[in-house]
Amino acid sequence: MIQFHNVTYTYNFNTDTCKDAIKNINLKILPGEFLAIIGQTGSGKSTLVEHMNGLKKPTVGEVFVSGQDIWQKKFDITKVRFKVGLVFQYPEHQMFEQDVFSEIAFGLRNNGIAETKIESLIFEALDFVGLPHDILNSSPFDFSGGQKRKIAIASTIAMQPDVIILDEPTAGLDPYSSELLLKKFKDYNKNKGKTVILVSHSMEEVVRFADRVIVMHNGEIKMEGEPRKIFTKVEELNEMGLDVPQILKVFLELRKLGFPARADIYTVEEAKQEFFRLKNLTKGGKSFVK
Amino acid sequence: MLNNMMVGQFFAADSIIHKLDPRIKLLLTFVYTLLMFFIESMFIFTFNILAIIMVYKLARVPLKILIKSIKRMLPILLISAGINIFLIQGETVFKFLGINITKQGLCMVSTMIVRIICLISGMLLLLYTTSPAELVAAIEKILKPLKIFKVSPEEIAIMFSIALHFVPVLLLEAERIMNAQRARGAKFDSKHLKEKLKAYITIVIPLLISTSNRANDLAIAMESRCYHGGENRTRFKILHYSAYDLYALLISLLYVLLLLIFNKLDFFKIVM
Repeated sequence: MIQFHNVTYTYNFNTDTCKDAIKNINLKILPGEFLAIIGQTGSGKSTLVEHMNGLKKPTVGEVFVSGQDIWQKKFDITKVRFKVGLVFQYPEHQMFEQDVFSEIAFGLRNNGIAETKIESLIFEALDFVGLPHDILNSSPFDFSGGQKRKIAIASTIAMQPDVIILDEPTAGLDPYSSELLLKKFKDYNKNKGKTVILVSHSMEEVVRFADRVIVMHNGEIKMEGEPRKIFTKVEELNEMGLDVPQILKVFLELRKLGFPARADIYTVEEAKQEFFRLKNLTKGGKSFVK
Repeated sequence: MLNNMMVGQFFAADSIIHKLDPRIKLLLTFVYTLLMFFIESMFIFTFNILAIIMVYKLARVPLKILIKSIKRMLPILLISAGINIFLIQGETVFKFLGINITKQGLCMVSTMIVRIICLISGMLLLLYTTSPAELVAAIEKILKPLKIFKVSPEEIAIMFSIALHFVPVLLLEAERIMNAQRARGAKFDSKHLKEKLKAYITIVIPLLISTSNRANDLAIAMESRCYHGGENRTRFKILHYSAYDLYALLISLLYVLLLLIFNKLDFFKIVM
């Protein structure tokens, strides 16, 4: 779907203060996968995703979307923007329209979609983020932070992009809304076969939702693979300033204390079962604590 | 992209000019600006440009930066020159599009351009060699006498420094919003003026909202730390005059007199 070929991006190119934001990136994103990107602040995650819809032009290398080199001359880069939707961090800061309808319709109108079709797409987008239909005439600025976020996400979802990139979509949202939103994106991924790319600082989100994870460090891809495999490399992750899911940490500590606990527990459900198993093991009055 | 808009940003270097007291620099820039309006001769302007280049060398500010800034002002310069050249009456030198181009017109326009370039270079020198903090401190000192009129120089200074401080912050914010709108298909590079203007509105409104929110947050933050300007407030950096400031004053005084005398004498005045 999206392919990076030796991509390097240099800030302030040709000046004294130049700095490589991403270095020599080779990456293949498959259609229909749920990809997570993790990394410390300043590791180049945002720069990487801004290359995926042509917001940034690589200093060196090529980016292909659906096999098309997007920086080839005569290629209309705006086409890529409708194919690859990007939801920025704090997307509620980009709102400007007088009513929610126009706000969500902005992208659709830019894409030249007929007014008759716009309405149904907007309703669909509202359902997606879980907002009622009667808000369309109110001002987008009258809502709470979380609702604004949902409206902003709806404005990208309404365009029904083949790939949707989410740059920390749940930052500052309450746990319930975060959960709901991510589940919706998982549905979008599973049921519609669309590609979802999630930039996140929450290892719990990554392990629960992503099929594959990329670990960025100092502008390079340091690790790549299934989340469950990546999170076994606890020390390497810690060196890069990253963490593993909290629940896993509990079991790793238990192992240190001498319990024969598994080291691959990532979700509450798995933890519950593991605790029951450990409880049954200790039933005979055996103590594992040294 | 928006970084290119920064004109006259402080250029940190270790030089005598950087070390001068900002009050002196502010005063000298003011005098220099006035001086430029008194001079009429092309020869003296040329001399002045050479002097400016020398001071830039002394300040260790690369001329490249200055030339880049002047280049950016070129469109404005050319437009005003273009208008003037057709309007001034006098001896016709040649005709262009049926309008007389006069000797006086050419003469006046060329002096005007050189004068503006001299003015810009002088003011930019102040901005290149004085950090915003120093500049604000100097303004605060200079405005002290306004206290008689119940104007608080501290408040003016703090507003000034906040404004300066937030320029890069807002530029970054503008760039972020621009990218966000671009991701939704806004056409900033459109060839139709109407579409282009429409696209820019999508930056202006969010930027205004975030700016006013930011201002509000800042006011609350200042208030909760009990900020109040004026009375009993001490400074982190206290301004001191040094011997260099005296030399700078004397040299500048000499220079001003020299230029004024030359100008009066009309000795070198070259009539084009």
